[in-house]
Amino acid sequence: MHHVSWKLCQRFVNDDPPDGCVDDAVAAWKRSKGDIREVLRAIVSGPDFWAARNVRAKVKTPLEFVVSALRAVGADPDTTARLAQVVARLGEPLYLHVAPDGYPEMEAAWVNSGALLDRMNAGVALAAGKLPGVNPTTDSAVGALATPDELIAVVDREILGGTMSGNTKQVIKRQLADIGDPQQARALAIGLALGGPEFQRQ
Amino acid sequence: MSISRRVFVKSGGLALFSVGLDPLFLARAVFTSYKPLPPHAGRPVLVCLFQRGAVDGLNMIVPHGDSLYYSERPRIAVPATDVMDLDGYFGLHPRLAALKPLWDSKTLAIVHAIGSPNATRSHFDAQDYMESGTPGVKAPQPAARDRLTRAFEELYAGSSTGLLSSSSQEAFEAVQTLQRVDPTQYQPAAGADYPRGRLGKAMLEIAQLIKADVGLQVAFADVTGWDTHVNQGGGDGQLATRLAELGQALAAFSRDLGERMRDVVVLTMSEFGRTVRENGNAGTDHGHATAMLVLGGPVRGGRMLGRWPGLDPAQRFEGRDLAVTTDFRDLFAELLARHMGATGLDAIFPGFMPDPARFPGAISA
Repeated sequence: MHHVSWKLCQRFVNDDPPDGCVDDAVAAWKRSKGDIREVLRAIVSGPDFWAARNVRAKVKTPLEFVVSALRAVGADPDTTARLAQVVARLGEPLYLHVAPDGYPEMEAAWVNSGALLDRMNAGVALAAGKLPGVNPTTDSAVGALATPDELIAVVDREILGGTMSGNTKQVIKRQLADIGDPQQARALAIGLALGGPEFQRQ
Repeated sequence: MSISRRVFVKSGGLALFSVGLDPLFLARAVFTSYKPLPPHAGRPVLVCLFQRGAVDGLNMIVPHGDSLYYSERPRIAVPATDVMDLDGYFGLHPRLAALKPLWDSKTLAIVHAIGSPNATRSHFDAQDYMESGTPGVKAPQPAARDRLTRAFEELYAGSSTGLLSSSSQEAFEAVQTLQRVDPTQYQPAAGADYPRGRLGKAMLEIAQLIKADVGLQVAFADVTGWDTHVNQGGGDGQLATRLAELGQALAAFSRDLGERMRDVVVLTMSEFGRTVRENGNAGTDHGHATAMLVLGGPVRGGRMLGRWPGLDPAQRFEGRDLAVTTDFRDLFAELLARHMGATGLDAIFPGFMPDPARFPGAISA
C-alpha cells in the first residue's frame, strides 16, 4: 500500500515524492479500502501537489513530449505508424518495454545528451511542418504575427502556458531579429519553444 | 535519403557514433562498466558493421571443400576455381579479394556458423534497433543548423536546471566535436580508397573520428542489400557487388588507420543467414547461421573460428539451415571483455550471461 502510494506520488508529483503526499495517499487508501479514485484525489488535492518545488518538477517522457507538442501546436497526426516511430526514436518504443515493469518515470531514464538533441530536432521539424506522421496544416494555435514581441507572447501563452523564462524570450527575440518572412519566424519561434528547456517539463 | 547520425557522450568523450539504426545492445555496451580507460589517443575502439537483410554466409565465406555446397546450389554456388582459398576448406568470395592480405597478415579472423540461438527467421523488428538518446541536429543547411544549435545552447544555458542543464551541455559539446571533424576536409592516409556510396562514407567518417581522438569507444554503420531472395548470383551478380563494396570498405579502413588498427576491432554482423539450398528464383531464403568477420590489430587472425556443423541435412537446423554453433552474443561479449576491457557483461543482453569458456577466441585472453 505504501509502495504503490509512493509510486503514484512519484508518477504525478515528483521523482522524489514528498513524505506528506505519500502519507495522504496511504490514509486515503485505508479510508476508502483501496479505491484508487480516492487515492488519486488525495494526491492531487493535497498541499504538495501545487507546492512550488513540485510544479514542473517532472520531465516529460518521450510519449508525453510528442503528444503535448502536437496538442500545443494543434497538429493533425495522420493514420500511419510514423508518429509512433518518432516516439520510438526518442527512446520510448510503444508497448515494447521489456517486462515485468513499465517504462520508468524518473527523468534520469529520459534525459541524456542524445535524447535532448532528438527532442530539439523533433520540435524544429514539427514547427516546420516536417515531422513524419503529421499532416501539414496551415491553421495553427499560433498564427503568423506582425512583430517578434507579439509572436513571442502568443508562443508563450499557447505553447508554454506562460512559463517562458526571460532568457528564452530574449534568445528567441534575437533569433527573430533578421527574419522577415512571417511564416519562417513563426516556425523558428515555435521550434525553439518546443525544443527548449521549459517545454521538456510536465 | 538522409542518414541519421547518432552520438552518445560519456564522461567528456564521444563514446558512441552511429550511422544508421544501431541495435539496442550497442548503447548498453557503451554504458556498461569498464576497467580504467586509457586516454582518448590509445583507447580501444569497436566498430560494428551491420549487414542489414541477412547476408548469405555460405557465399561470403564459401565452404568450397564440401561437395554438398555445390550440389545444393547449382546456379549460385561460387566456383571452386574462383574462391580465394583460406584453409583448404573455406575460402573468400572472389570479390572479397581485398581482404585476403588481412587474412594473410593474421589480422582477420572469421567465425562461421554463428548467429542467434533463437529459431526466428524473420528480420529483427526494426523497433529493436532503436535506442534512446542520441543526436545530430538535422537541418538542411549547415549555416541554419549551426544557428539553431547555438540558439538552443543559449536557451538551455539560460533556463535549464539539474539534469536538463548538464545533459544539454554534453549534447552541445558533442555537436561541436562532430562539427570540428569535417568529413569533406578529410584526406585518407596511405592512399586508402574508400568505395563510393554510403558504406564507404560511413567508414571514412569513423576512421576520421578515431584519428581525431574524441574518446570514441563504439562506432556503428549499417549497409543494406543483403536480402537476396531473387537472382543472388554466384561469383558475379547482386551479392558479389555488395561483397566487393564491403571488402573494399574494410580494406580501405584498415589501410587508412594503419598503426591505429592496433587499438581497433571491426566486427561484421547480420541478423541471420540464408538457406543452404538455393530457391526457385536463384536466390536464398531466410536461414539460420551466417559468418561474421573480425578484423583488427588485437585479433588472433588468419584462423577460422567456431565449430563447423557441416552441410549434411542431418546436421542442419530443421534439415534446412546451417546450424548455429556459436552464439553471436558470446563473440560480442568476448570483444567487449578482452578488447574493450568491459567488466559488466551481464546487463548487455537481457537474460544472457556470457561465459568466457564459450568465447570463440577472436582475441587473446
